[in-house]
Amino acid sequence: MLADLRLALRMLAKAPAFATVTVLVLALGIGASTTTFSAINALLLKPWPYIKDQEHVVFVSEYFPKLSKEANGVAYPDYLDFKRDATKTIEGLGISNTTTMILSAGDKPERYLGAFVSADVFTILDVQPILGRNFRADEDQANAEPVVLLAYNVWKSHFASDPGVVGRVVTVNGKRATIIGVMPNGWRFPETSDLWMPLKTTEKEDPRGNFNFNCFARMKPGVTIDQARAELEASAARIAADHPQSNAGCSAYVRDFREETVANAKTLTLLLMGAVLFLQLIACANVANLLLARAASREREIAVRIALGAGRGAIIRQLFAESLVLGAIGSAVGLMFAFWGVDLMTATIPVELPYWLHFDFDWRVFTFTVTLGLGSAVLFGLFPALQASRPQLVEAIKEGARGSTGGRKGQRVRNGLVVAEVALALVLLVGSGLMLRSFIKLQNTEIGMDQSNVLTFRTGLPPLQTQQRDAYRFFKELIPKLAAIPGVESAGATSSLPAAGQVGNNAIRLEGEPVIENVQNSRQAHIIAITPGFLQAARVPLFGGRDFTAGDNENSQRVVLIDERGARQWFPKVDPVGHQLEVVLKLGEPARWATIVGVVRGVEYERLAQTRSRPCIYVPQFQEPGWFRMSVVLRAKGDPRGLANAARESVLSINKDVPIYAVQTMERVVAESFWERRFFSSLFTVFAALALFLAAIGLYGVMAYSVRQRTQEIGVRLALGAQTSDVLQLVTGQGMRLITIGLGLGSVAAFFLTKLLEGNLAGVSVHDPWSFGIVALVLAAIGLLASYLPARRATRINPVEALRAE
Amino acid sequence: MIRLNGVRKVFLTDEVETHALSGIHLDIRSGEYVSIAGPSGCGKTTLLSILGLLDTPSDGSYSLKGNEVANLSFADRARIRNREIGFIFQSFNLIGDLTVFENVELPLTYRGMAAGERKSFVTEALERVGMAHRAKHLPSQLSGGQQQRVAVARALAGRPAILLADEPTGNLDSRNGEAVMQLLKELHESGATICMVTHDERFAQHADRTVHLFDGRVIEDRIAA
Repeated sequence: MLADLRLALRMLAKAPAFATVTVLVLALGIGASTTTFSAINALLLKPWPYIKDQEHVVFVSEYFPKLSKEANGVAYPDYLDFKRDATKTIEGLGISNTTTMILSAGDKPERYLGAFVSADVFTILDVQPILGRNFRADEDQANAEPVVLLAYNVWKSHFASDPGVVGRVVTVNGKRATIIGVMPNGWRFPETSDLWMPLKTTEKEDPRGNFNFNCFARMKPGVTIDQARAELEASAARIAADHPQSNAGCSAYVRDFREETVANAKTLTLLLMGAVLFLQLIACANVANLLLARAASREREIAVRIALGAGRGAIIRQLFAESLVLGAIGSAVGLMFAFWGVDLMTATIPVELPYWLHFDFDWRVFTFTVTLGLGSAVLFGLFPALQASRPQLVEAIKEGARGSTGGRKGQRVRNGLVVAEVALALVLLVGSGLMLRSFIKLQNTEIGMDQSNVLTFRTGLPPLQTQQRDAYRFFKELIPKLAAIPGVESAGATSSLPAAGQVGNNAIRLEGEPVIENVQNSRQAHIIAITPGFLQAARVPLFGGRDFTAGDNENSQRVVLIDERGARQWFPKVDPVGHQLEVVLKLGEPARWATIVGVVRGVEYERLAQTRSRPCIYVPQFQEPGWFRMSVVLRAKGDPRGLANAARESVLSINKDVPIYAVQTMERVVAESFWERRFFSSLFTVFAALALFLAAIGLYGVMAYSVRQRTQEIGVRLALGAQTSDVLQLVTGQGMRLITIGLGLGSVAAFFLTKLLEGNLAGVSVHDPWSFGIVALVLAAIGLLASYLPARRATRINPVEALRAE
Repeated sequence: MIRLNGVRKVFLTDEVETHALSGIHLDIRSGEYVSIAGPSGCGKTTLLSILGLLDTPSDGSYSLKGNEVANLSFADRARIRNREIGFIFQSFNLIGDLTVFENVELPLTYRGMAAGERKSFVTEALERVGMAHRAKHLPSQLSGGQQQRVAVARALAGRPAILLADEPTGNLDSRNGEAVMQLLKELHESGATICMVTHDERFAQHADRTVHLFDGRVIEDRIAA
């Protein structure tokens, strides 16, 4: 075999054009496949850093199976009950809640994403700090000294990797806390946290029905997820029986930690993998065609070898060795392409990735690439080798014989491969066409506000340090200052930005309705706190009534605005203005009725890629507790991007310890709200374009080869008086027949395969006739061009020379 | 060594039967130098293909060294070709990407012979045809006559029972043609069994027996005086 490989290398070196084209075609497919596999590896296969025995860690939540299959989160008292009840299967149960943390350890306050966690969280996950110690079990008690753990990158950037950092006292969200340790490099649990503090809460602050926490558990050794689920479900049933008002119908939701975390991306990533494997199949079909053509030109050589006594095995081995060499070089070049591909892919992701998601190459990726390369070699190399090992011996050896491996059969195989390529390309193109149409629809979604010329940023006071009144004053002072910046038309603030998906739901009750007994049967609405000026800055039109004013404060009558969806659903026949409703924050508390003072246009607050928004209720920031940090919306007269510095100065002039962060234009906020769709549709489109390109050159290759084989026949036809148009028709007709069959087969396959995209398309049917039709037309046009070029060459055949050559 | 009995070869093309060989009886003894002559299309090459196990007869029997070989499998035919038959083609059919040495070595490689042994067989064969000094050259660097000598060396290298030569001088000028014929004669004199197809009467006379074919039949089998 070694000798065969050596010879194969020599044979390929003597055909550099063939070797280069083949390797490039293969490398394109392998590069795309490896890039996608590195994402699959990161999402689904590679163990997460630092967590030991990750398969024993499960995601725990509560949910209402009759309402939705989605996890709600866990309520603090329920977490305590779970911890008490599920002792047979669960070794440890932890909770976390991410939040903004402002760290002041010097002159400049810095904003980080932090997490409040139960004190035993890192012990449960078995992750140790590299400096200092973990939280002690009692450090989440209300009277415990505040302590903080730093992420490695914060230790490095904020504290210059000071080894003596442990024991230093810093200010986090306005309160002093002692640094007790530094976590290992790369550890940013649960996703991108930089600071961790013990969660100090009580059942009173976080009562049942407020499913605010992420929860996870470590199962005891030998316990299955089903067993853990059964025990937690039993616990959830007990809680529901004891607390029907908040928990009736509520059950426990237990899932593999990784499965839950990657749920959204998994389907699309696997579909993408399917798409690139299609691309690889097209590449293999192309290479098989090239090998068949090459085998035809080597028929005499092979026949001589057989005449000298070579068995079929020896011939197949030698030809297959060439395929293996091509596969190996294709893998190496493909790997190089994949390095760039991963860089490119990562650069197009506009959000910070979770700490455990790294697209770096490990042994799994290398094994995949080598296996794909060798597997492809079998796929594209075996059939041509088998066919070439059976030449028409006598014919091939005869002087003057034309090389034509397989004759009609060979041509049939080549035609079949082109048909397969066209069909595969059509499936890929239809898939990408559907995703592209869905993406365009999302991009054109009317979100209910004018997003042009708007700058947004987040700012506000830390809740632990300040009173609600301070936050009110801060924004009351800030908004006019911002509105006075030259170039600013208007300014306002909101608790949630449109399309950002950072919006919660609350139960609401209309006047005349009975007291809400359990949450899942109540009316639900998004509650958005805004300051006066927001509607104007966002250009959300008022359909009736009035906007909030500075007079709507803690001393005035409670007021709300509702949107048109709420007006339609709740007051279908009357003008809602003047009616009352209650936003229920805690069940069982005295009703806090508010008067509806206006109706505004509906605005999308959920991320556009997700489910559509519920009705919205706007409350004045100062009348509802808890809105310390807000998103500011600045409407500029022109380009808003230059306003950030002036806005920062305005904020610092009011409070020098308050940073502004998440500065971005509203257009970017909206674009980020469906970045996954854009990301996946871009990748699908790139792969589909590659597929189209490969299918086109595959068709071109087969047609060019066929014309070469038929030179004499075409010469005879021309000698007999055929016109140029006859020859064009002869050759392009042959190409178009193949394309038509490929389109037919591909359409049937696409009809069934696009069903896999169901649930991942917005506003487009999986059988969208436009996508199918346009793709078929584009493919047919490209196919026509690919057949036309060899056809045009065929018309230039000199009949005299063609006949003499025979 | 070779016995053909009632060998027929019929080609079927679009339901038209072409009788290339009709009832050939032929014996070739060990050490004989036989030339098969006849006009173009008389069936010479078909006969040689059957003798060389490149093709199978439609009917009749073929025994080589006492063994019936007419209906063997592809693999068995390849094995016998490799061990018992040496081919010399009109167009040399050397493999352009291999050196002279490697071309000659090729049939031995397929035999699974060890490298050391192969080297001595190849060297000996090249020395016999006077081409040992060109072992590292590629076929394209040789003249037509030299290429045919290498082809003869390749045929000889495996020490076959019989050499089959198909118009070995067809692609050579008269001087080189004569040289190759002289080489075959020397080989015959040293004991080789040779069967050569030629349409050139001058070269047919080099053999000690000439079989004339016409329309697929043996019309004359003459032993030289």
